[in-house]
Amino acid sequence: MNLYPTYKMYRNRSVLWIGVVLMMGTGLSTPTEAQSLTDGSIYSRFGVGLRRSFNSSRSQAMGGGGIALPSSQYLNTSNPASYSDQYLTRFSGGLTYEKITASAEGSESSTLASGSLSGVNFGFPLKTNVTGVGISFAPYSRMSYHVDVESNIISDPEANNTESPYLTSFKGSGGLQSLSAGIGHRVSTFLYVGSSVDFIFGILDESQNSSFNSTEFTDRSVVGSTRLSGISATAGFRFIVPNMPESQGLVVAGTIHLPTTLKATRSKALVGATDRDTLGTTLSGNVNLPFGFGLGVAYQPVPKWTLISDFEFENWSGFKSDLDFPGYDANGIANTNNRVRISAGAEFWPAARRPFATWTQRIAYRLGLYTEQSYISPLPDQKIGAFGVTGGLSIPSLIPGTTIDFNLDVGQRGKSSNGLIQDRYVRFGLNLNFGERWFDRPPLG
Amino acid sequence: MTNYFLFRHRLVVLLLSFVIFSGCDDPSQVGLDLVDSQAGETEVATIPSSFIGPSDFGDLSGGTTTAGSFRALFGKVVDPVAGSFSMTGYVDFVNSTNVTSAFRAAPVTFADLEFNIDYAHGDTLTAVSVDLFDIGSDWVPNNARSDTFLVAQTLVTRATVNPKKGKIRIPLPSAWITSHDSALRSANFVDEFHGFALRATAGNAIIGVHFSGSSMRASSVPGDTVSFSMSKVLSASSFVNGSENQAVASLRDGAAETLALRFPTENTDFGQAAFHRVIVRLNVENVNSLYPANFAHKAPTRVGLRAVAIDNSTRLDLVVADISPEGTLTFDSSILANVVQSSNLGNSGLDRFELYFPVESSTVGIVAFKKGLPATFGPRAVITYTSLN
Repeated sequence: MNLYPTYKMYRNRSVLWIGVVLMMGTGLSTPTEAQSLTDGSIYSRFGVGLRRSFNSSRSQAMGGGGIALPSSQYLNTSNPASYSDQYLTRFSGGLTYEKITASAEGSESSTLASGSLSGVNFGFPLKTNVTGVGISFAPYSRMSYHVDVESNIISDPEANNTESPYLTSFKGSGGLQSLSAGIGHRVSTFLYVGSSVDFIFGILDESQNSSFNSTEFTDRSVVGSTRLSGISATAGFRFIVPNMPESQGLVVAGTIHLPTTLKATRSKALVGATDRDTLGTTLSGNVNLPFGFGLGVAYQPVPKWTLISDFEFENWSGFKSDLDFPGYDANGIANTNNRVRISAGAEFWPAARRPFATWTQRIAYRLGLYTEQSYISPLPDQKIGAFGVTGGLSIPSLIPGTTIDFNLDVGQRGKSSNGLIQDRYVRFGLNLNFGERWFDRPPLG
Repeated sequence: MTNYFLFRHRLVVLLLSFVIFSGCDDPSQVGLDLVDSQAGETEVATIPSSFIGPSDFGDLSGGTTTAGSFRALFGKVVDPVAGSFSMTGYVDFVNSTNVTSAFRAAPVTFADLEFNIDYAHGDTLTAVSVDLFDIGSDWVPNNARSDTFLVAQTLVTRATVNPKKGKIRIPLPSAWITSHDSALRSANFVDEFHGFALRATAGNAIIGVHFSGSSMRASSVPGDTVSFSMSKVLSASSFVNGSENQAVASLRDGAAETLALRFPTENTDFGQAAFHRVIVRLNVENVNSLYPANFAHKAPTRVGLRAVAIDNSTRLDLVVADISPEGTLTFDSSILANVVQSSNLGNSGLDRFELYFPVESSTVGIVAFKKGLPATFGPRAVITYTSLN
């Protein structure tokens, strides 16, 4: 029986199918998404949107941290120092589907769903396990809110008193993306360093659309768009604590994100079915993103278990902008706070250090939890917190080094008192982590 | 076995993608208190016109047998609503394709005009005296308007016409026949002859001559008459002379002026706004009681609305509407809303609206609109808008 062609066919077609799914996600995550795929938390309209990051599928399932994790199995973009730790060329990417139940004081609630690209990472070793390169494209922030208000209007009082129903939709979409390129290098047996250049760019769109269920009316939207772009940098280190007992490992790591100034332009337009008219003049100014740092620890008591814990800080209380943002008045009150995120996670991988383990043993199981204080709040005297529990399965494929990961994130943000909204969300992540040896000269020529 | 595995694997991927992208979405007004409006509330405002009055732009009154107006109008009248005005009718003819060689062989001895009168506006008991002139040069009726002036060269004859429906005949004098003999018998008749102008000198009615059944007839051989069918018409109107009824705003078909209408598109009620619906509404005044007995008058029932740019030459026909049996004229169109929207944003050079009668209405019928504020049914715009301020 010739297994080899079947294996190749399986590999190519599976990758193709997964690629199709990824492309669907990529296409649908643009600002022109279908309505049902752009609706998220009302808190995303404040500041430059809800902060997002995608370090790796592994990190996503372990609470979202992972600064101390290596890039050997997954390209870990949270810390460029980990790029040195590569022996395969890797491509990974994923989609996130999020469903939010938002409730206010009382009994009202709304259900909002959105789908978006989690991120795309690409990395390869320049010198195996010594020097490596990582390139990533992932969201820095995301704006995706949707509030509908149903009303009636008597548009022709003379003709009759018939009320025409109409819907006023307040929507926000877009966000900032981070395109990063970095390099990591092993300085010594225990110390790894790395840095990356991060191009941060994106568009934040807020719209108010009045739509009527009648051809007598013309639906129109007022859209305010803010374009931002700028370059930042990240530096990081990983330190492997020496002299640990046999089969145990402990890594301490840290990163610093340098502050950056984004150039911003803001315009407003009236959008009809076939036309778009710019309103007023275009505003421009600088938006200064603050510096931040992260500290992480990874510990392996036995090879099968990996435990991580992370602390991230961003100095948003020093946020400055020439342009107003929801929650931030350039000439007045700023509801900004320092962003703090604490997370912890665990991974159980029965096949650790056993390359010939069975398929079921090569499945990795992950759990995590996190808590976060948002960098901005709708109200000056209120801070928005979130906490959640994550989990995930990493399913191995027949291609060595390639996995398909399913992640889950269940959490809660805000509260339904004091004029705020409580979001209860479920995020489902589907990720492909593809790894293969490239640029190797075959043995014997 | 392997194929089954592949199938199952692919199915799992498809099912997962379905789960991912088939989200249930039910947004509500939860979070409204945390949203700053990009715009204001959606409201309705009724605003009066800031101007209604004459505008110098003639009605389309030229036509051929296939397009445009189908009637030549001539006469003079003192209308109780529109005031004094006169119409000069221009007609031209085309020779028949089956002219006999016998007709061309001998000089023309007889010629007359046969007009099919199918329309009258005015005093139907008083005859209209009309002068018939030669037109000196070729003219084009397509898109010609009632403020067009054609040079009438020489007086051909005078006639008296009763403003009643039916056919009349106006004999052409022998001097004219002699001077036009070669043209009448020429194969290039169309190039050598350019028609007649009909200009009233007395009377109190406007008379309409329809293409159908109207012709010029000539004969060179007794018993062998050649017919030249009417091929072009144009009706030119005098301008208003201030004698119109000032209590109403009158729109006359076939007039050299039209009725202009202006609305403040950047009204203080809403400033800059998103317009969802714009209704322009006028009410017709019943003026039947102003007309004496035996004064034929019939008002058109379809009226159009067009936008006119500041350059006074760019015009866009927007919408045509019927006057309701109750006398209300309502223009309600998304195109109208778009035009007002562009004007409100300062993106178009909209100067005014004009009312007009569609070209298929070849009359001098008059519609009198009420003036004044919306409360007294004056011209008004009912606007559904969302303020942008």
